Amino acid sequence: MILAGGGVIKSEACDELHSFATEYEIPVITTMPGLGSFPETEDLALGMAGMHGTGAANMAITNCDALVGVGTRFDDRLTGGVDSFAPDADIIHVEIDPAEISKNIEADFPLIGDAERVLEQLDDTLTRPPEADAWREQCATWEEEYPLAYEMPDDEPLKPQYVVETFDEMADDDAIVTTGVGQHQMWAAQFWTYTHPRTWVSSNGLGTMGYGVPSAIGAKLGAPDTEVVCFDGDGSFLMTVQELSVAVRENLDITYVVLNNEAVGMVRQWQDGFYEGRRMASEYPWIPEFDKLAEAFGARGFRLEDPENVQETIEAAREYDGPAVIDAIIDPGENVYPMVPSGGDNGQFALSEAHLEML
Amino acid sequence: MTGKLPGPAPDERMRPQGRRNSQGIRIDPEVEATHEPRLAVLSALVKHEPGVLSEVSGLFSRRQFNIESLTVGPSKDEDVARMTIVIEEPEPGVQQAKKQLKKLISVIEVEELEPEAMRRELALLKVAGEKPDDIQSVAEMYGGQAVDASRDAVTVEITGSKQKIDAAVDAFEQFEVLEVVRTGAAALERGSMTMDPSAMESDN
Ligand SMILES: Cc1ncc(C[n+]2csc(CCOP(=O)(O)OP(=O)(O)O)c2C)c(N)n1
Repeated sequence: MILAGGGVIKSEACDELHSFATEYEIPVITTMPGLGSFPETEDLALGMAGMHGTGAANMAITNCDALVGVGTRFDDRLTGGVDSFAPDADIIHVEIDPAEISKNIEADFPLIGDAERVLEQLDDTLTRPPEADAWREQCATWEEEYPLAYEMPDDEPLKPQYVVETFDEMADDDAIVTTGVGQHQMWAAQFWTYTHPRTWVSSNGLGTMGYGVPSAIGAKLGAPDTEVVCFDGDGSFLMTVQELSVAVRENLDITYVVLNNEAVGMVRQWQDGFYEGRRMASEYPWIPEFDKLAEAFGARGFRLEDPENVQETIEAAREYDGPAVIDAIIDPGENVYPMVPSGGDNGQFALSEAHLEML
Repeated sequence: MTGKLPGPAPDERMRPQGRRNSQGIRIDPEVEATHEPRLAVLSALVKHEPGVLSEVSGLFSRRQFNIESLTVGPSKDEDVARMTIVIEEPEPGVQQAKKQLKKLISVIEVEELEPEAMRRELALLKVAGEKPDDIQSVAEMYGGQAVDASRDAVTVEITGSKQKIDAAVDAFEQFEVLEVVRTGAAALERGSMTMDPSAMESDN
């Protein structure tokens, strides 16, 4: 198993990772910062592991017997409880910072160096691929058993996953996605297909709400010819909404999609899941209409409620040459699954609230 | 509540046999093995500039390393200060503390001293009692001396290893100890070995 972290992208080791993984036919899981380091369209790609990772990735990382972690800190959002993290695996840790070695997870084989060079050297040293037909079949079975699914809406309320997925189908392959923090961030990670490095721009586990609006501006300025989409939550969007004026001033062609559940949804989800539904300061129906707010800034605003209008609204927002904001009114009760509770066993991810109660 | 994905429930899935301990080390689940904490003396050469102490102590508190003592003072070179940090941590914690210290820009060099390194601490004890002579003779037993006396209290100075000072404090209890101040350890390796000062130029 290969676990690719954000370090793979930082050290420009994605091509090397790709040839290494495909040559030896080793399945690849990414961390959240590692999204885009390995094309999710590859057969070997199992997606992201961790708290809201795919079922297949979490089953594989838990049950593998050898794990090559490249450019990853083994952060707690990835590992869950360390007692149950890849407990049968020899860990080969490729990492440039010695302080990360055996900090969270003991490295049986620490390889300190630049990810690209170390992968090259590994490639040169290995003589034959591991015998892993059965393992790859097992991974494929998990992928079938645990698809990322959601209810297809034919009526309101609109499902956020559907908005992300539809946008993904319409957007350029190398479009850059930025996010705030919360449920929308997880849906953007899960339901968009990442195939290029540096197309996922997020504060990841650091959890900086408000990151989405300004980072989209930065992304657009850094890559003016690339499509930039920001998926934001209503809470996160309000934290840095004033930056819209910069996007208007510079006339930056960015599409903002506020997945508006009138709530700090991730907080509400935890209150529902772990505090018997006692909702406290997590629901916010008293928020502005974001399409009108956008217009007030001089950007274009769109309101999206009806599942039937998803495509045309996205199309119109993409076509507008300048900052556009789609206020997507989504199902306020929608929650993010799979979910590994904080400190839990990755292999025991919950697929529903009922599972959370079993854990 | 909406949000339910297909797939086998948690209790229907295969689970590995193994386990890791809280330090992320694979263990035999039958024998709970964790590293026991040990004392480690870290000697660090740091740039002698404002803010270094708070950087180092901030690192230790953030990462919750257990500090037993921390002393700072000038070194041979006026631009460099030496910190002696005694921590009590399991082996992985000791290694982490060293690596994390090395990452600080203002830290030039870090070494863990050998157990037989020279460690000295200074203690001042204010002891109650009308008989300065008795107090002085106990002080002498520990190689110390009275440095101040008033009508009903004597202040004694003692230098030595932690164990020696612990024992001295105990011995003075017969008179009643009013106050103690201890400096924490200052430590140097035995022999002619030193920490490489040339690291200062190359290591940034
Ligand atoms: C600045 C900041 N404050 C608080 C939090 C804690 N927090 C994490 S997710 C979240 C809710 C985010 O709500 P929203 O942006 O509306 O996104 P949603 O979960 O509804 O998609 C909060 C409050 C944080 N990560 N950052």
